[in-house]
Amino acid sequence: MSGFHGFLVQDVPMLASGMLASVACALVGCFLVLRRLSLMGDAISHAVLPGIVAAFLLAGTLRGMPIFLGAAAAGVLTALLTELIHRVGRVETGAAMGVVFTVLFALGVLMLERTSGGGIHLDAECVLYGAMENVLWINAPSSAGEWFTAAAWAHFPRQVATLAAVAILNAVLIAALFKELRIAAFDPGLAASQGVNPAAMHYLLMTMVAITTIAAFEAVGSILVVAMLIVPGVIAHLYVNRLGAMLLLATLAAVIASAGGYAAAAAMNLNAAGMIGVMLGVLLIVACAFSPHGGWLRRRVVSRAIA
Amino acid sequence: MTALLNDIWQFVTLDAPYNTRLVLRSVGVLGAACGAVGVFLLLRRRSLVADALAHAALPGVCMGFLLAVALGMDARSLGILLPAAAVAGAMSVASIHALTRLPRVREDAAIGIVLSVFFAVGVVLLGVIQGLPVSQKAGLNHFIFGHAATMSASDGRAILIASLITIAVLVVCFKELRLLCFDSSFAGGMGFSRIALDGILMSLVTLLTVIGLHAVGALLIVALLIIPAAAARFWTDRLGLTTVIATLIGGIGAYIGAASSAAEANVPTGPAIVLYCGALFLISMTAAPKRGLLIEYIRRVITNRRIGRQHLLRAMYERGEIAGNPLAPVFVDDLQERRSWPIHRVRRLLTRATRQGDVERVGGGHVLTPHGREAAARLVRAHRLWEHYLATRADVAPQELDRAADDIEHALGPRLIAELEAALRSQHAIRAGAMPDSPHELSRAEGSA
Repeated sequence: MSGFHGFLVQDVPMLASGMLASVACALVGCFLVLRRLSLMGDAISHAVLPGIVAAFLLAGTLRGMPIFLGAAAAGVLTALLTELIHRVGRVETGAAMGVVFTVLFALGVLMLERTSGGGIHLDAECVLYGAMENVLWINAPSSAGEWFTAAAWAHFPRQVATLAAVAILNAVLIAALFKELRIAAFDPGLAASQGVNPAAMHYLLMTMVAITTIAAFEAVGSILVVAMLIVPGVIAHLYVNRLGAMLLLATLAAVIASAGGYAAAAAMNLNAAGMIGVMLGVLLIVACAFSPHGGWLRRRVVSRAIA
Repeated sequence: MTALLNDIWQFVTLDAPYNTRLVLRSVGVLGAACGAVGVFLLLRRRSLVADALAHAALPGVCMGFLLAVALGMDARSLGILLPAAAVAGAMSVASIHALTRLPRVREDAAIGIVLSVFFAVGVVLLGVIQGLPVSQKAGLNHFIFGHAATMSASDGRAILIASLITIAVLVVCFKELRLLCFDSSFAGGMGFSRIALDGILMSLVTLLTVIGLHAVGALLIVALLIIPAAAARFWTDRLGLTTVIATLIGGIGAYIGAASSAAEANVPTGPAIVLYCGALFLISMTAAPKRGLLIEYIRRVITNRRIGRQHLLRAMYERGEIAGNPLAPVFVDDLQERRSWPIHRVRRLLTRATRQGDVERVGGGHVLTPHGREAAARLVRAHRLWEHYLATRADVAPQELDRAADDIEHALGPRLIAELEAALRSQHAIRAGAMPDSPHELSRAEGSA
């Protein structure tokens, strides 16, 4: 196994899955941050579990469309139930979310335990921590000629292909519905008066979050998905005022954090997914310090100038 | 099914093996304590901080483990791991606070950031530990998942002590915490340190989270801190009672959940407890007598019927005044024209009023019965008094009087009517007991006067 071949077999799939996952998450995450629905990312990343298990029980496979449909249904259900408990029961949104996602997650775990005879391979630890190290490109091309053979591409890691598809889907949807999503994010009332249905945008966003979450968490785990969803958006929001710029900056932060995190993990032999999360945290601290909008250092400079 | 119920009953009645009894008791006590603290957490709008705390404990546990290894101590001793988790928990709360001081970072984002980034640090440390050539590292991740079924006696003791401390502190600081939850600036004005009070509350949450995390897992702790409190709010408005009910719901849900998990194979403890608590929440939300959905629906129906009856009676009375003959039959068309009600609504109101004896059928139309006339006269009088009051004291334009009075007339009690009479008597020909004239012209269709 030559150095480059090993790079293709191991590093490229991990780096690509980390980067694609964080970019896909960063794009939808910006809207979550703006809509003050950051914790919906956390809630949905837990609540997709019963959707996955149900889809598995119905379709008998853990691959392809059924899982995504199940996850999307669970995501929309989470949003609907939270809304219902908040509106009808007048329970504060955070608590309503907490009720819904803990119950749905518990339901998922129970379904998993009850059907564990069915040979389902979804252990709870993998769901929490992810298994980025398992993403390998077996049979990666070892010489220039093999790049064009079917055998080399037949084993191209499914996770990377899925994440690429989801990242592209998110980018395309956001580009196509940019105006609608923007107006619904900043002023739902105005959106309604302009003929944009804010509820439709809300549930579209929730569906995107659910699909992105499920694509990403096989690689990075359900908790680190939350970091990838929220942190890039918050970093970008600390620097810029325009939504377009925010999306670009969030994507940039996601790319830097995943590349840097992966490099650091490879150099020091650490958990790659965890290091991506840590790197996002480091970028966030930098952003908090230097933010032109009330950053910690900025504030100190201003108060000194006033004094 | 009956066999299962029987089994559950046996466990509930403590007719169970020692270890099961220990789990049931500990989990029940933990549920009760979490329920009580959860109420204050909910009122401070910090329910999900518990989620962040539970996940932030992972790096703390890992650091504690590494520290113990470095010092050559027993790395699994709770004496090191629990304080380390508590320190990490305190740091997570402080981080949330620091982040929200930035104008661009909302509290929900701050909670999500701290939860996930702390957990990421924990995942990295866990990887480091797994690479170390030391023993005892197996099962460290049970700190996050918990393992209620294999709870040890010392775990049970720790849970009991932590729960008792929590309840005791809540009882002692009840007044101060109540003030903090309902009017924190007033609490500050009264000389209480808000930071200290919040600190006490978050310390209790941290204590329960850290102790419970080890025993029963993150998901369960989060659920126990949020669900019973949210469910209890449907039963009452009083804080003391809410706390008691949340304690009961948390305790009972946890106990029954653990019992059913012990009674049947393949039912993990944590999810069973969460689902039972969820069921109690659902029951509370629908059936609670104070704010439950069922009772609110019934209340709304009753109010709507009362208001509908009052509108109908007044419309029929004024119709009679316009016609100059109070006994002239009123037809559905007239009422429809007067109130712009849909026809099925008019029919329904008339049917109900007939059944209640306010109205009777005469020919093709309806007339007020003597009983209905009396009630109607009272309503019209209240309406007109209020209209006069609005016209003279609030300068409401005549064409808006009717609508404005419509909003309030249903809530005018006898005392208010007497006050209105007294206030208006000097200016108008309003005498006690007599019907005042309408301050605006009565027309066939209301609102177009």
